[in-house]
Amino acid sequence: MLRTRLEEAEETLRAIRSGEVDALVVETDQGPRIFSLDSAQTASNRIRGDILAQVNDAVIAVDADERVTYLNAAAQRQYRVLASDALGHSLSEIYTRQGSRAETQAALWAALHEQGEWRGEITHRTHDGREMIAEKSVTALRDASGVLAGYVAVIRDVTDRKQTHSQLVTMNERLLVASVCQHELTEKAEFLSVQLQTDLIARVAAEEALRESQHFIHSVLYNLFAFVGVMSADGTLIDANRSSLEGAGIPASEVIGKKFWDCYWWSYSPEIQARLRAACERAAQGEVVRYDVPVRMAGDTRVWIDFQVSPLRDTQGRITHLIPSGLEIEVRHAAEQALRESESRFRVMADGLPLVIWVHDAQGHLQFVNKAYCEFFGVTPEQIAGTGWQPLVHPEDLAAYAGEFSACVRDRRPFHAEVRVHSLAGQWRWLESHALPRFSESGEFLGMVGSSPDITDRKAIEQELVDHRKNLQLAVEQRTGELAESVAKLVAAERLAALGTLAAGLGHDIANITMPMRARLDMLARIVQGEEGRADIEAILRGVEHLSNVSAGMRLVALDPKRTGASAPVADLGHWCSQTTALFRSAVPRHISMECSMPSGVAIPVAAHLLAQAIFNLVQNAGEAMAGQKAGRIAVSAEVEAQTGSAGVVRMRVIDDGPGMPAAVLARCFEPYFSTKGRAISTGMGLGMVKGIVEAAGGRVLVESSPGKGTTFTLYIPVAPAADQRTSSPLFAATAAVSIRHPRTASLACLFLEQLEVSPQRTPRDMVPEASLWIVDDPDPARVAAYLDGHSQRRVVVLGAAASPGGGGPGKPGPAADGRVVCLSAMPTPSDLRQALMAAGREARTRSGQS
Amino acid sequence: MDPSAEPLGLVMADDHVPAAEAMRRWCGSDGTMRRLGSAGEGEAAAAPVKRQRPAAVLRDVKMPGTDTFALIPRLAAESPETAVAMFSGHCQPGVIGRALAAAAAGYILEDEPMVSIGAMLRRAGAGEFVMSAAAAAAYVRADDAAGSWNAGPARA
Repeated sequence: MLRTRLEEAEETLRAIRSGEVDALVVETDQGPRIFSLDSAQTASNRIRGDILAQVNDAVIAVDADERVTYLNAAAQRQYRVLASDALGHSLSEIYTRQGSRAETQAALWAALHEQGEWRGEITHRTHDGREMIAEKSVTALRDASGVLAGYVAVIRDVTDRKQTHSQLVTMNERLLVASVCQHELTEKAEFLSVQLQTDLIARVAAEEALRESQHFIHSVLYNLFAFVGVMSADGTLIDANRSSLEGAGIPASEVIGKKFWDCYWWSYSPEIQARLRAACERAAQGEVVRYDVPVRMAGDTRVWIDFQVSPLRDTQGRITHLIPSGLEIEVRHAAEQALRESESRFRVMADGLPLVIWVHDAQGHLQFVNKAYCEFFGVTPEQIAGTGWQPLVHPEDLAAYAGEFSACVRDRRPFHAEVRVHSLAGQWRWLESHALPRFSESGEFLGMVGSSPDITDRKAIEQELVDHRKNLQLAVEQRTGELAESVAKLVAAERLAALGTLAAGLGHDIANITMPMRARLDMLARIVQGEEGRADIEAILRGVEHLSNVSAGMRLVALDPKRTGASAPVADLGHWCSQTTALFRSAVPRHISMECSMPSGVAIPVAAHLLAQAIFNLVQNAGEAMAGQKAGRIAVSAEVEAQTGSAGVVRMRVIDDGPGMPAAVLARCFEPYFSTKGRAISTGMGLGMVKGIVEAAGGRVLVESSPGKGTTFTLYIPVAPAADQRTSSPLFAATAAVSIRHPRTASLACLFLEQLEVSPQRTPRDMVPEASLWIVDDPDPARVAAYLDGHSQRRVVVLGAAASPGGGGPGKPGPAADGRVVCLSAMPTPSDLRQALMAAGREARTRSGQS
Repeated sequence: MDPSAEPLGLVMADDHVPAAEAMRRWCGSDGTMRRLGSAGEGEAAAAPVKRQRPAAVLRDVKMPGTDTFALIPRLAAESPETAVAMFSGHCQPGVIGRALAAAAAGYILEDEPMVSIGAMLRRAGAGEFVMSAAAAAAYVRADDAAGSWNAGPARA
């Protein structure tokens, strides 16, 4: 509408400008007014001014520089300026355009140049700060020549219209939204309506189902084997199912309306009634109470039930009823009772055993320990319950022990472990724990039961055994080493033994040869007459004698040194030396000289073969030590040293000028198995054997040696009295008068007496009054007795005097009471005769010495 | 030595041929002894002893064929006048003791000079007990000389 009016105004204005209009009727506040437009320009301008002053739109004319040339009243109101203040001033002093003025102005002027007009909506701000939206219509003003001299702008404030329009648009949008919402609401209402109808139908069905359900539930409960009832919150029984009534053999009328605890089921026991009443009171407070209790059934019997009373609440949570129920547990109760009895028996047995016993539950927590356990550890069951036992275990063992136990519990398999624990006595003790998994009849895992015997002593013994094994092993190794060494020695010894056997055989063979040679030479000596022939025979005899001596020496050296009686003691050192020197010489290298010299008539208490072996050993050692020398000398000698109170001592020496022994070797030379020799047959026993032989005879061995100065072994051996020593012996005077009828016995007795250093004289019994021993034989006991009576001072050996005083009976010598008389049978054994003569001879020698 | 004296009748028993042959030659060489027989094994000596009844028998201790110590009493029973003397290189007291227990008439060691052997044989033949000094010393000084005196009939 406005646009229409504006277009009309512009049309009018164009008509006025073009003079097509003569008069103009304008609607004003005071009513229509007629303006005449005919005639002159001034009049025209005035009229136009009046007209423009009356319009409500702001009309502003500017020149080419946009200085204001005209503004109407509406413009003055619209922009709150006076025409006097605006005319001639720049348009920008009236209002300020929003946006880029230059672009707007350029577009305006361009449009005016090209089209003569411009229309558009602008936003500008008045000088009093008001923002204005305006529709602007600009028409070019040209001069007479048609040049653009300015323009006139009609500016209509459309700010309010714009705001109204904006509000209207907003309202339209809201209305549209409301319309949509209304549509949706309508649809929803329709849906809800349908839904409501459906719900109503469902509710009816649900109520029907509920009724059926309630009936069903009631039927189910009524027919349950379990005992179920309903009572009011104060405990008054309202209903009870069939099981509870029939089981008790009572009609419902007997219990309905009664307090529950006063009913038949409980009235047999005031205690149970009291407990039941308390349970109902607690249930009325909202608690579920459950416990096992015996209920009276038909026939006044009792049945254990698992009883429970629980509150029943309405939708607001208020307790309206109480529901008692019970389930028969007679079997379970009996089983539990049996279990309790079993457990009781187990505890009694466990406590009675001196063995540590323990029980864990299925989680591995300690449940029970017996008395022995508590006494062993000095703890109470409460202190070690659960895992409280673990501090008792040695810290180094705990992780492995507890870990293995947990694994066994987890895997439900047997447990076995050894562990150190701290006992009450304050000691670490070893326990050996065994445990087995426990299962219920239904196969449920219940835990572990185990025992732990004290194995400390066993461990100690085992450790001791281990130590012993180690020691034994060491000993075996040591002995094995020694055995290996012994084997080597044994091999050497066997070789020596073989050589000894060989030497013995060889010596015997030589002897077998030399004896016939001597026999034949003796025979030849009687046949051969010439001197030269006799000399030859003598030379051969000497050679044979040498061979005989070598043979004798070899046999002596080859005899077993341990064999008692293998040879007789050396009765004459000179004779012994003549027998053995040849052998000694054969034991040393040819470039080493060997001399052996011993006095004749000296006896020593050393068996001939042992002395031969001792000296042979020393000579052989010296010879081997001197083998590397160009020359050398070994001297074997002996001399008798007088000694008070005895027959003297033989000082026997083996001297060599060999290399001698270092001090270290000298210090050990007599040790068994010690040897510096490399020869295979050395046993290291040689010098030890020498020492043993000499010391066994009551002597001793000394050795002197130093490097470069040779070695001297000195053997000190006691002299044994010998027959040839009688000249120097105080026993010389001992003489026996031998008067024996049997020549053989007599000669044997004389031989023995000679060996016993007593000079025998075969004579009539009384012809040698100076004798110190008489040997007589007489078959007549009376004569013997007379003889003994007549010679009460004589020492007498009586032969064949069985009936004489002191006789011991036939064949048995009977010692005389004073030792003076020894009686033998007529033909004594050589051994008896020898012993009797030795005893009597010693006695005779003693008395002779005293005299 | 009495030249007019009767030579000593002797039976020799030795299994060692050189020794036996040498002794056979030797015993007849000086006229004091006369070999009446010889034997190379134990039992073989019994026959000449029984037949010849020698004054003495010189017998090796160890000979094959019989136990010498068991044979001595048998020989003495066959010929009571015969002296059986042991002739041996062994000088062990045990061996000597067994010979004495068997009533041997003597124990002569082989290494005795031949002249001593002859003298001892003659003494044995005369009824004495003869024994080499070394053997006597070994036996007397031994601690364990054993044997029993199983003498035959006494000789005058």
